Order: sequence, then C-alpha cells, then structure tokens
Amino acid sequence: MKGLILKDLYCLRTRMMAYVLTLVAALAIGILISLSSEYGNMRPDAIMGDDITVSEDDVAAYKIMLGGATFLAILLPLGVGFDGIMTFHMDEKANFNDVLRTMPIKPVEIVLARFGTAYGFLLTGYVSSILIALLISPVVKVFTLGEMIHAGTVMTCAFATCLGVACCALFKWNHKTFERIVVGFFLGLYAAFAIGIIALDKRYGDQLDAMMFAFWDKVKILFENYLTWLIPVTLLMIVVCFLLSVQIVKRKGRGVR
Amino acid sequence: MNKDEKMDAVHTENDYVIELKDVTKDYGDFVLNKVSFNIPRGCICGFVGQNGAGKTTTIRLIMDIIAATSGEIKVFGKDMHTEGKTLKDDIGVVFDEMGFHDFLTGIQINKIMSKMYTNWSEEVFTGYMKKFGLPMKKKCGKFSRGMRMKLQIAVAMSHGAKLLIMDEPTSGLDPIVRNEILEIFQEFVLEEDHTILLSSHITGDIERIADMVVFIDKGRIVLSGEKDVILENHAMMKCSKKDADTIAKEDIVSVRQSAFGVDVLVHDKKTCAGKYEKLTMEQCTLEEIMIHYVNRANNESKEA
Repeated sequence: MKGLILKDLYCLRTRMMAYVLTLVAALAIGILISLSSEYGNMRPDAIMGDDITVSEDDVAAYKIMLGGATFLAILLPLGVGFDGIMTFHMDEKANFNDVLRTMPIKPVEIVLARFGTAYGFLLTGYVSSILIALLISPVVKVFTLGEMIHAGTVMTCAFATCLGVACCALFKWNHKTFERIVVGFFLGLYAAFAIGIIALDKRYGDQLDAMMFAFWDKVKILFENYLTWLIPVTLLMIVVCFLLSVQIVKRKGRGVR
Repeated sequence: MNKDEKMDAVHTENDYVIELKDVTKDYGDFVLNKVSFNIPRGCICGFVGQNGAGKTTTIRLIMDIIAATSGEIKVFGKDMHTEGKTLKDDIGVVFDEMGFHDFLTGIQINKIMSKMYTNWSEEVFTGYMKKFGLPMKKKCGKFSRGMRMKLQIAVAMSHGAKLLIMDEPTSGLDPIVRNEILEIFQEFVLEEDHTILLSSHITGDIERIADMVVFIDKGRIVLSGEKDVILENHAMMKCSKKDADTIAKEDIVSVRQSAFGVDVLVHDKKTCAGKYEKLTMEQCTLEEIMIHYVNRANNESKEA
C-alpha cells in the first residue's frame, strides 16, 4: 500500500505547477477583491451609508460579485484537492492497472491507497482554503473569517462526499465512461433546474422570488448547525463508498477482457 | 544444473509450478476452451500460438487478473484467488506493454517497488539496470522499446521471484536485444527452483531456449510436451501429391502445398520412417509444426 501511495504522489507531483498556479490565482482573486473594495467606485462605506450615487441594484450586484469572488477564492484550493482522483486516469493511461494486479497487494489495500491519496489531497486543499481565508479576511469586509471557514468546511464536506462517489465510479468504470456520466449528470441537473424554474415561475409568478429566499433561509439554518449532522453524514458516505469500492475491486475483471 | 538434470526436472510428475485443468473462459466472440497443461519446476516453458490464439488470456487467468468461467488453476500448488498476495511475491510478470508511468525514473521505480515486494533488492535492481545499460535517472517514457522491456525484466527479477511469466517479451525487438534477453532467461533458470513461462509467436526464440512447449490455437491446446520430444517425433515428408496419397491419414498431421509438391507433417517419425522408406523425411522446426497444426485445425473447422 505504501508503494501505491508513493506512486500516486509521484503522479500528482507532475501536476504541481498547475496546483501552485491555482492557489496563486485564488490568492490574487482575494487581493483584487480587497483592492476593488478599497480603491474602486464601489466602497464598503458606500454600501453601508446613504450615498445617493449608489443604487440598491448596485449594492445587490456588488454583494453578489464580492460574494461570488470570495467563494471562488475559497473554492479553488478545494478544486485542487479534488484533483487527487487524477491518479485513476494516469494509471489507466500508463496501463498500470494490469501491472498492479500482478503485485502482492490485496483489493482493500488498493482502495485504501486510492482513498488515502484522494482524501489527503482534499484535506490539503481544505487547509489551503482556510489559509487563504485567513489571509484575505482582514481586507474582505463582506464576510467574516468565521463565515468563510464555515463556507469552506461545508464545501469540503460536499466535495468529500462527491470524491467518495467518484472513486467508486472510477473503480467500476474507466475514466472516459466516468466523464460521460458526470457530464450527462450535470447537463441533466441544469436542464432539470432550468425547466423547474420556468415551470415554477409560470405557476407562482412574482411569489417565486419570495419562496426561493424563504427556502434559502431554511437551508442556511440547516447549515448553521452543520457540525451536528453534516460531518457525520459525510464520514458515513465515505465509509459506504470505501466498502463499495472494495467489493468492486474484488470483483473487477470478472467477465471483462 | 546441466541439461540432463534439467530434463529430469521436466519429467518430475509431482512438482508442478503451474497447473491448469479444463480452464475455460468465455467472452462470447472468443472462447478459451478447456485448456489443460502443467509446467514443472525448473524449466522454461514456451507458450506458442499465433496472434489472438489465447496466450495473453491464459496468462491473465493464471495471474487472476481475470476470472475463469470454469476450471482449476494452481500456482505453486495453491489457488491464486485466495492466496494471491503471498504467491505474487514470488512471481515476476513481464507484459508486452510497459506498465509504468512515462515520468517515472529508475530511482522512483526502485523506491515504489521496494515498498510493494517483501524481498525487493535494491542492489539486484541497480545491478540489472547497470548490466542492461539503463540510466537510473532517466524517465522511462524516453526509453526505446528494448530498454522498456529490459526495465520490466529488471523489475521482475529483483524481488526474488521463483517464477517468471513473460508475455511476448521479445516481440518487436531487434535480434541483438532479443539474444541478450534470451541469455538472461537461460541464466535465470540455472537456479533449480526457477521456472519461466514464456509466451511468444516467435518460435525461433522458443526453439532456442525452451524445455517444454505448449501450442495454443483459437483457444484450444493443440499440442504440448517436451520440446526435444516434439521435434524428435515430428518430421516433414516432402513429396509429390501422388506419393502423399499413399500415406495413411492417421499418420498425417496435415498436408500443405509447397512450390515443388506437398509437405506432409507426420507425428510419429520412427514408425513412418519404417512404413514409407521411399519417401524423404526431414527434420522440421517448431514453426513448421505450428503451421501444420493450425492448418489441420482450420481444415477440421471447415469440414465441421
């Protein structure tokens, strides 16, 4: 198992420049946010005060832009953390999987090594995300440090669940099939979301905005208590995905050339 | 161990390294049909067949990379499926395609393998790398085909393996590199308990170093046994069609047209030498034997 983890680290090391650039980009976004708020037209005091030159729509747009940009600054390092599953693709490309099955290693060790690398990388992404939040929090006025860490932790839990499911899928199928499934899933999700919004808008009209804000408030309350349920659910999902992956690896190759 | 002692090892009945009994693998469009053969300890077994005959499938079944539809496979007397981890520590495998990432160097491969195999020897590995002229710091993606094959062989022979399974290791290599690799295999089996299963469609290589041969064609074992016995028993009779018609069908493996008449392969040279004194009999090669057995199988399937 140690050999596999070492191999994965060598694999991911080849992508180190991409990771560094992504983290630098995340940091740069944070710095640009602060510069635009301090020296640009849209200043925090303009939002807080009764400055008649700034309309309500401008304030709303600014908050959305700033929130989105801050979200991106925290999300990017997590995206890097998710890249740990690239080892599946790299092994496939190198025909390493057949070689692996000639080595003295049990299926559970193969899965442990993969999960270890993937989640180790995700945790590194999470820590990087927290560090960036720490760096930009003194200058970003829209969110507090606590709110940014909160958002980062929630996103990490979401990523961790997706990572477990992705690992399962990649043990089962090759990466091309996996990509098709993911693209199909998200296209389907967007289509369903778009159709849903159109249908709800037709049915509820002006009431839709209020309904969506009320729904979002309920979701926010749920996430405010995230420690009590989100982390245990995430850990449970990871365990389930791990056990499923072991079964898949044990049965891998049955009936397949 | 000299040649006679190796042949005694070949004849030993109760000391088989690989045992296949009625192994079947059904892919739908291709079936490996009741393959049975045993490989004794201490020998080089040539596993011969044309492309697509089922050699790689058989090797993958032996290594438990894929599961058999039915039949029994034992390696060192044990079931690979249940005791794979222990058994694979003693087996070195070489595929025709290198399975290492292009960006890995010899140093990195050494570090990885030292954590994968119990008996990995860095000294032996670096020794083979030096012997093969492979730089330790160069990425293996920049190696030529011959160098990649040598790298795989170095890895396979650096963890105290007692059994080497090679899938077309000399395919696509130039004669000099092939010769080098075959000499390495011959050195490997000088140890009493070392065995090689060497699959190839290059019969010249098999004829040169193998102690026993297994022919496979379209998923079925056509012929198996000691190489020298097979060569000794078979002979080619080159004659006219009229003379060929006088040869009894039970003596013939197959008949093929040649530029000057017909070539008739017989499977019992001594008996045929007595029966057909007037006909010329020549020593044949493994390649000719393989071609004739494949020809026979094709004729039988046409008739069916």
